[in-house]
Amino acid sequence: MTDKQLTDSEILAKFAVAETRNFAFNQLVRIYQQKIYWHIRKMVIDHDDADDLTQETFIKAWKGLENFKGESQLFTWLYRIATNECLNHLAKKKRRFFLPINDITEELSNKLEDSDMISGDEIQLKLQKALLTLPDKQRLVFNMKYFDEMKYEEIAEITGTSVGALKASYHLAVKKVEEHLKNSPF
Amino acid sequence: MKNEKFDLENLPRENIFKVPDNYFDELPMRVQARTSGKAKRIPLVSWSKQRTWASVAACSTIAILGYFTLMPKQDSLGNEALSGVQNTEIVNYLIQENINQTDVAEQFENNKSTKFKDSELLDNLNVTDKDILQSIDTEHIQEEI
Repeated sequence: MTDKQLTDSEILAKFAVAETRNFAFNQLVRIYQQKIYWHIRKMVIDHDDADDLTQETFIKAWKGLENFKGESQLFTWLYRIATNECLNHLAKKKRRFFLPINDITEELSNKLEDSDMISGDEIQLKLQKALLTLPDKQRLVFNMKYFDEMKYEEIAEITGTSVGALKASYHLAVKKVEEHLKNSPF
Repeated sequence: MKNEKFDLENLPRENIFKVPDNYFDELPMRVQARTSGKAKRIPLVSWSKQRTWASVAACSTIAILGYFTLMPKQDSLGNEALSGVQNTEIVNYLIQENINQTDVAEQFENNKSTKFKDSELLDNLNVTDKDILQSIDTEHIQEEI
């Protein structure tokens, strides 16, 4: 680990040089791995799935970084890749087993209860279960706004959705989750 | 807490998920190993829509070709099977089964799809004029005459 963390432009500059490419990419992974992993983990719940998708996200970043134009921040670009990986993974899961949405929700909900990689008090578990009842994209928006405390503009850049639509989506998600928690027995 | 207004904003924002020990220390090396090609992934055969349709199409083609090339036709089977049998053996078989010539003739007559003409039928049965005369009701012929 270096003492000073490289900036995005320094990473890109070093990545462009063959001799320092591996070093630059290693720094990029070290800087962003936790944000990306937790973003994915909250969506797929299971650690092994999250681990696999995090690696895939960085492999895609490795392949695409050469063509990265710098029109957005590295962070939003990585989030966009990770978000696509998550949504594709969840969609594939539903297609592969021909399962209705409720079954996927139940499967992920069971993982919340059974996994030894999850801790937290009852209300936090209830919150996670309530989130699983939301559509994937709405859950994604909720996670980025509520847990990651991202700005709507940043979420808009990642999801390609307008700020207005995101505000409406988050507002609805909050209402649904609060309603679910209110009616849930504790 | 049931049926009370629930305010998410008042709930502490906790991360309830855990990772194995040293996970984030090892992850960069694992990613690096894959990008440098040291640990190439074995491609998994996953479900694909195109591959499924291609397989169905290939199986259907094989089944259709197999049906038209391998399945013997009903007509050819009958002709080929009988071509190797002597007429005398057929006659002996018919006698053994107690089937007389009239029954055979009626069977052929009833079968509209038969390609035999009357004369061919008689030739195939290997009957002589004398046999025919014995079988035909001569009185009936005389009436016709």
